[in-house]
Amino acid sequence: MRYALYPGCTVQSEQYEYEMSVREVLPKLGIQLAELDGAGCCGYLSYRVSSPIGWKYLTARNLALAEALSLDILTLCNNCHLSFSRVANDMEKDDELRKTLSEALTIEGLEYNGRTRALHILEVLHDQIGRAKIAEKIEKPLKGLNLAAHPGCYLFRPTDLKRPDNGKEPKKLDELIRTLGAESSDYPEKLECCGSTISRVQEKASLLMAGSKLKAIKEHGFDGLVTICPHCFRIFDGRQLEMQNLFSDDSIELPVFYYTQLLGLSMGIPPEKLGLELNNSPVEGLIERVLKN
Amino acid sequence: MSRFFTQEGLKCPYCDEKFPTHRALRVHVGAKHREKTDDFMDEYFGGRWIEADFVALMLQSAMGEITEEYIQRCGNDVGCPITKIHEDFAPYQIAVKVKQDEVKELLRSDIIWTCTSCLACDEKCPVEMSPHEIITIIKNLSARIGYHFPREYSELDKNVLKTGVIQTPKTVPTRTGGQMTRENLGLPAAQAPRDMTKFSQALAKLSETRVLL
Repeated sequence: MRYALYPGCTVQSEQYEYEMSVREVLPKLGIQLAELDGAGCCGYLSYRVSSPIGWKYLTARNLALAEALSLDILTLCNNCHLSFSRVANDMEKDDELRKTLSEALTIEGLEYNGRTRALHILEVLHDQIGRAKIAEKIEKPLKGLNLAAHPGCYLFRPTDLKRPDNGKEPKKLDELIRTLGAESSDYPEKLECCGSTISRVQEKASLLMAGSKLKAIKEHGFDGLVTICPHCFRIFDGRQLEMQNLFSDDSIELPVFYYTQLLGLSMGIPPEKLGLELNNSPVEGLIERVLKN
Repeated sequence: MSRFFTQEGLKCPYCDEKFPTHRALRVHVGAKHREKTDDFMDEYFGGRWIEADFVALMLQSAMGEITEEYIQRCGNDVGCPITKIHEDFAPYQIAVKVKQDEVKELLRSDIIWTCTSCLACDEKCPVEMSPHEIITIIKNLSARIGYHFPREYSELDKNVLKTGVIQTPKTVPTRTGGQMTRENLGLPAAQAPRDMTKFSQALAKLSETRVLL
């Protein structure tokens, strides 16, 4: 299986631990990664608001670049994946939109005919590679850990589009965590939004949202939080100190991992190759426990 | 509009102070003459309110009736993140405000910018147009008529126009005080459009049609 890797702006500009761990683990699971040369922003964060047609163009040109390679896109970000699904769907159903975007694409020497789609890494891991094959590669199972899964809204919404996981009861991330030998029990706040989308414009509001979820996870007794979206990770891992100040509560402190980092660790890949020194949250204790297994 | 423009630039109608940009003038009025903000925006915006009124009419006809079912299903139990911030807020109130001709109030409110687009209300909404969809249309309206578009977002737009991405690769800290770049970490060059001239031309062509779509 070969895909055009599209890390997306946030991952490729600052979430290096995600990209490093993806580039380490996927080839060892039989996935070849091609570079999507010339790719740009998908437009979701700001263009979707300032210029909906500009947003759709930005997404369509990346689909066109992948189509030129005859490859599907593999994306790491929930927002980018929603953009790709929405725009591909709209272009298929709306002739006028397709014509308008196609005319603009020719300026860049591109065309998109709906032959390429985008897969989220969760789908590639869970549905393409599969849990059985992942389980075969586990050298250091995450025994004795109970980890909270945070899928992130767009992995399972909106239900009018095909999403990587089931809208009513998303459980693929939980299942993938259990494949590594850890526990991942359900908790009432699992589907709550992290608030990261508005962190640039409504900082306090977003910290309240993420902080109250982390607090709840901690109270449920989980050892750590696992996510697979760079926006969710960015706030849960990177902003704990600010949440502590906002809530006047020093106990908001929890190890946060990308799923691919834990997957790599349990496959026996050294922590430095998985960018684990770049996590801001206190992950050391948990890494030591895994390495002792 | 004319009383804002002078040969020296833009003039505040309430204290005669001069400003180099529209944004600076608006910020000044909001900060120094708060009680005059509504009058100022009405006059300053003039014709642009016509589009706001038009969008309000379109929304009112598209959303249908607000029934008891709508209020119940789009009430406090939707799991709306805004409710965490504004305790007495429930998503259906967005639709009620549009019905009551209060689109301008929504434009002014931070509620539309607190919406995380989590889509929880979309899933429960019994009618075609959910609170999230209404909010998105009002955000688009706000940006299009130049009423308000958060500076942080417009910075991202500017970066995309200049480089094709929202931000170029940063140097990031390690937990032990180190500083790392993509190169240090052995990652390949970040992706970006190759020909920025053609990229910009394509986006510019679409900006001509953006009022239509």
